Amino acid sequence: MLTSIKMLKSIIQFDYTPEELGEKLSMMGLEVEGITKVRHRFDGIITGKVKTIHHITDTKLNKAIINVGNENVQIITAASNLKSGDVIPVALPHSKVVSGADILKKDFKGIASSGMLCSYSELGLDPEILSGEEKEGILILPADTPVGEKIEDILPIDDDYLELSLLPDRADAFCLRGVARWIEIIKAKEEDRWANFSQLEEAVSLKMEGVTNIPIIIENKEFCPFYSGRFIKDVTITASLLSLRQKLFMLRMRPVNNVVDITNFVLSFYGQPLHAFDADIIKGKICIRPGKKGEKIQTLDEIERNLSNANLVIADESGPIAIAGVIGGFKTAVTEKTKNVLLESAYFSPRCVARSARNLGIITDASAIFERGADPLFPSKASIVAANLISKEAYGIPAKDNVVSYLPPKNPVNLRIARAEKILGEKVEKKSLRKYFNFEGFDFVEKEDQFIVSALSFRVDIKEEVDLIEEIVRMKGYNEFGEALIVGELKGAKRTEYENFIWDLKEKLVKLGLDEIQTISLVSESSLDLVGYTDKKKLIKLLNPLSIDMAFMRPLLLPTALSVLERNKKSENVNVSIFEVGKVFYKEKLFKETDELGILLSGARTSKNYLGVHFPYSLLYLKGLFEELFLYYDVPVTFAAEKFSFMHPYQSAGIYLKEEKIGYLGTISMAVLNKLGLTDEVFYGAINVEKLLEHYGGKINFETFSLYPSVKRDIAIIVDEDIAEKDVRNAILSVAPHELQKIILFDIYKGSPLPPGKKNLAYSLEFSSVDKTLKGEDINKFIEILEKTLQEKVNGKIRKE
Amino acid sequence: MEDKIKQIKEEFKEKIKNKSLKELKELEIYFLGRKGKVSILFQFFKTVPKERRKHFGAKINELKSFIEKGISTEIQRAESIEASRKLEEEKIDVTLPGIKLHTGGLHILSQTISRAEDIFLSMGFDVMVGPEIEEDYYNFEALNIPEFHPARAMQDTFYLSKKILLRTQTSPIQVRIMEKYKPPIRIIAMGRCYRKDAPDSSHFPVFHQIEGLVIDKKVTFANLKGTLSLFAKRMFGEEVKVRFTPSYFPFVEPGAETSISCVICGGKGCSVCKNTGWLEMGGSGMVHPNVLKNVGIDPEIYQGFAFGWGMERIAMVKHKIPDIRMFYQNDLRFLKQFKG
Repeated sequence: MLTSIKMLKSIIQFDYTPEELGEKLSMMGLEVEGITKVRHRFDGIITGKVKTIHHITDTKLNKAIINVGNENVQIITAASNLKSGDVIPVALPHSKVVSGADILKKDFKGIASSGMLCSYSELGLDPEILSGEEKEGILILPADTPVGEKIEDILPIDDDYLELSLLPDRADAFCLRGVARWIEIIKAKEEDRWANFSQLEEAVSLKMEGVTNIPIIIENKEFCPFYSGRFIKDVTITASLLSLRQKLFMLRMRPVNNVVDITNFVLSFYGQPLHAFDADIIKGKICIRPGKKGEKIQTLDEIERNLSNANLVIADESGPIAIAGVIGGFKTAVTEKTKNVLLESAYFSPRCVARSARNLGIITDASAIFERGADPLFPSKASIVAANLISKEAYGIPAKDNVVSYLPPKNPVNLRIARAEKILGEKVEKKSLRKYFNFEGFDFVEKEDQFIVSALSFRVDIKEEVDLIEEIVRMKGYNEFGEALIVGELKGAKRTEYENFIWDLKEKLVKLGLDEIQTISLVSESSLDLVGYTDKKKLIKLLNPLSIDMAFMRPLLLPTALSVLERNKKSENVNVSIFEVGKVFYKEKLFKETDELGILLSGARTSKNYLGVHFPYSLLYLKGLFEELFLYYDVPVTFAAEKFSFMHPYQSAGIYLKEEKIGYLGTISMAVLNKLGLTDEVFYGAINVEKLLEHYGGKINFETFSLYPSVKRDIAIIVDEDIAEKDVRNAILSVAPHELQKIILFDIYKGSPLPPGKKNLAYSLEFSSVDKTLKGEDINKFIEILEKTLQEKVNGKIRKE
Repeated sequence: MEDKIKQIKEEFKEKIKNKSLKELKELEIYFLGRKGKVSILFQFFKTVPKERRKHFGAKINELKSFIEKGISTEIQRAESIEASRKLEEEKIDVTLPGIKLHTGGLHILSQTISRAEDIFLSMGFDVMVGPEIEEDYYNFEALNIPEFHPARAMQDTFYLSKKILLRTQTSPIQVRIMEKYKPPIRIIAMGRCYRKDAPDSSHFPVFHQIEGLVIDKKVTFANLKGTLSLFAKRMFGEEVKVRFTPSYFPFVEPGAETSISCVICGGKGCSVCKNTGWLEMGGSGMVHPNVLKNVGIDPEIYQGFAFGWGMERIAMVKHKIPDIRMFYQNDLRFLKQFKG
């Protein structure tokens, strides 16, 4: 919200610079985000009145005689929107327009032109706050604008605006007078006195004729506890005159016509939304009731809207004519043809308007105020103020209004001093409270250890005791309170077991040489298609995504890991070894979330070097990382060859814990990589972290190790090529004595002199005992048994030199 | 005979000079080998009269030990030359770059979160978590933000269904904790939040918050300020100050926006703090009695404070990171700057 300091100064006197005012208001809770200083950038442009205007034959030009006060000048113009009597901006020779161009005397085919007529753009006006007509061609000023005056004296262009960012509890400041009230509070505090808001209220005496005969019925008293309808006859609808146009300019309101401009002025100046109906179009009585299913209304913006009981409507006998507190209907709008007006000034409850506006998906200036909380006692006064202006500007004759009121009395709020002290942590003096409540203009009664406070009706934020405690803080100053540390029992704070596990896991992965990444949990459908994610039933789609790129909750970490890889390869980061521990989401009747660990490798562990020492990542390197994790957490998993749509069909495996699949790993297929424009091999694996924790005992007990020398024995085993290494290893383990400490596969060999279809697996076995030095003979027995077992289980033979 | 001995001795003296290790080994054989010059002398023994044999025997042995000693000295000398020559051959240009082995690191957000958790742990706060997919009730209603409350518009929310959403703040964890545990409560909760904000340098639809909640019989507004002040000092440095400005969050009253004195300019005013000298970190305030009532805690007995700061904001201020999107791009040139 932009608030004009010029207009504030027109109703309250203060000497603060805009910056000082901004800081003071911010410390009161009206955040000023910035200050916009607007200055006119033209020079010497004055107002003039068109005396005559004639078309010059065979040209597109017109010859205009303009009165600029003490003389008449002839100006040639291409503009076609002028008629005699119009008041317009005139740039006489030697003046300057915003582009910086000097205006000179010119000749058009022998006809002299002493200057030019200006549109809004030559004056550098903001088109946002101009009417459609004002933006077309030459800017036509209000009819009563004096001539020969400087434009900067006619339109209040030179001004400083506060950029206010108001929070929902500052409903009372959503209008210019509301901001002025807070300036009065600031002054009252500085001058140590009672805030006097009455100086901001103009006394209005309205001349009325007759009464409003249109009956008004309120069906929903909770949503609309007050409604005033006032009949105003014989209005003349025109553009607003200068004094109102100037006010609208400072309030940054776009002009429409005098009656609509007045309702807009009252809204932005006094914070009371009003609505003016063309009274001659209203049929029968007015009823404020819930909308009905199937009902429609064409609103002022010419959009047809479907209504329901979520909307409160103003209806006549033909149906809805306005959506209460939100927007008026097109059919009953005030136009140039309007003769008689029905002026609505009502209070609609925040919940009523918020629900209705949300349901329709629109926000208007009126709905913004009502849903935050308008002043429930102001509508009566607002109607008088507006009717008075209409009688002056549009020559209408107001009648006495028809009022229906169910407003409950506002209860005062009790403040217990002891309670305030307990919350704030310091002594609260009665005399301070008196001061604070005076600064804010509250009425109060003192009762021993309590203050009974009646805030003014616009202070809708004062509902209960705690709200008054906040006012103590506001008035004393948020930073005038001391600091103190919490006093409490020492209890040994901790993380949850699960969080400890996650941190431990991350640290372990870092020790293994991996970089942690954090990626967005919202993904696109195409990124899921890319990795062949087919389980669409489990996929969670946002109802209101920001864009299609972020429309789904990620069901796996792979797509975002791949995009991180893609990004890094583009930035020439060739060696990528990354992991993420993050939430993945799926739907199974309910929405579920669980933690996944994903590891992605591409490139090499070492960077390019002059020694040619290279340590390229590989599938088995990745598997080694996972094995290290499972060993670390003592989780007995198995890897089984398995195919995945996004993996190389013969380089991928499922990871199983007992019978349950807890993850997978493999080489990403070239088809996927090609689509991403990647050429280097990529290895990826993922596991469910919760499953890992479930099986992790977390307890480490000391285990005795041997102090005796160990015995090493290398054996070479010949088996068929298609025998899985795991089976050979299991055969060894099945008969190994408990002294077997290590089993290392150190060579795999195929080819001559082995017969075709065979391979040689060379293992280094290490034995040690905790209570004696082992001898060769101790091992020999095992080797004998092993020979038999290998024969039986894997059709293998121990190779002898 | 004596001439022969003398002659051999002279020959040895001549030949031993400046010989390589290999040549010395050859010399050893030449003089002392089975068929060497010295051994051959013993063959002449027979021709020597018996009474002279003892004399010559001694002479030959003397020669033998002279040669042995001479050779072994020379071998030692040659070996040491050889060794140093070999070492010289093994010379490495120590100015060559070492081999770069890739090492891992935690994401800067994790590092910052871990640091924040440690600070609060040291102040006796338990660390809690909660779900990212949240019920409307916990994210809004229980926090004194009923349906259609204008405060909902302050946080543009992603919905999964009518009543299920992605949490817009970590505050729902407050409610879950208060439902589960009796006061005294002193916790922080950390996690991802979601808001429908288009990405720019200071907004991202995903971000992290640190939530704090303290409920006890005598927890005051002064304690709120003291706690945040201590946290800010531990996180950013001892000279940092905390400031409150009035603000509004329906679940706290009084509510405040919390700022720290600008860590870049020390509060003098610079482009980062937009010349205000202060950097906004997040909201805080005294827990609203309605929130306590909603979870069945008697607000007449218990009271407390809550706060919620942005983790990215903390990291950006601490490390002068200019753009929030960098956290989620994961460019290694970014990640690698923060060793940890």
